[in-house]
Amino acid sequence: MSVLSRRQSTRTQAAKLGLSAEFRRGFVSMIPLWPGVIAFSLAYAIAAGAAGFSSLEIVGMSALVFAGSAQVATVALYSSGAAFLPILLTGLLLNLRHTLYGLSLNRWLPERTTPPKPLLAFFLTDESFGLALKELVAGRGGARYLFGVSIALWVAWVPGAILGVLVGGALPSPERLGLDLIFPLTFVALLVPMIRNRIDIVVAILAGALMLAVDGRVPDGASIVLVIALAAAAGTLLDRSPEGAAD
Amino acid sequence: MERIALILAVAVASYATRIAGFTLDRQAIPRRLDRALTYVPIAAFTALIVPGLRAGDGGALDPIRIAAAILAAAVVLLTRQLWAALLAGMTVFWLL
Repeated sequence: MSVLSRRQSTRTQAAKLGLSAEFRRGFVSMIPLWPGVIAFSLAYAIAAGAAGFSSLEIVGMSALVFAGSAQVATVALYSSGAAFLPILLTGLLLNLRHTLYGLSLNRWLPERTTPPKPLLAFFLTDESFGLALKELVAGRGGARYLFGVSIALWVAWVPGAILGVLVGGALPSPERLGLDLIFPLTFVALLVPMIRNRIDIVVAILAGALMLAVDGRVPDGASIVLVIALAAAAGTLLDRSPEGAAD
Repeated sequence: MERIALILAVAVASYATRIAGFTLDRQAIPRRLDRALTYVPIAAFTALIVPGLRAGDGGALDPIRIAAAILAAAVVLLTRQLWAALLAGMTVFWLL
């Protein structure tokens, strides 16, 4: 087999697996976030180890739950002796924002997608929602792009937990390096170009002020859902443009 | 055993919140709500930024983190590159 035809067949196989150019573009766009993802994943794995979770449980939870805040809350509540149901409800609450993300993405995705929505949903996170939405709104990316950014997060998140299990406390604290700052900076970078008019500014300021007011006073997952819902509703009330002009 | 059941239950709950938004029929969504969804990204991104600007978990707002965020905003306006914004923001944090 010649080099060229071998390359061609690799490409065909890649296309069959859904590894299109769009998937790769999505995957690559997530790479700048990897230091923050791995640092967060390490911190989770170390906390879970200290709470008495086995290596398999720690890595398994990362692979299956794939939600940093819910995972950290689960191990923290478990180690503090909380009962099954309150832990489960906390996890549910912390992840409720994903429902809003799914609704939001659905506005721009066709009814049937490749890969299918049940698969896309499994990997949905704050970061993949943010990066994919930016491309969807710009008309440059679709379901494959979303799948690319999502997989790129998962392939850093799960090995990060494995690394945490293996090397644990031998590492400097990620917070001292400030790697946790990568996430708010990412959302700054996603937010700023989205602001196009006065209503957008009002929605952003309102969301920021509300979050400052409720953060720490209301359970974490509830506060973010509440803030998103109130700020988005306020935007709709202010929006007097004719139907469709807001898009 | 109890921990494995707990992990699986949290995994199912997480998946439920993720699939719920995708499966709702667009036609079934009232127009008002559909309009509100256009503001969800801006509201969500802002809400996700705020806790990250605090020093430590639930601490006071950190001026250095705020400075890093402002610089990241300026850099993304100029370059439109996520990596450039992250690099600029992290540099401020490491230097100050």
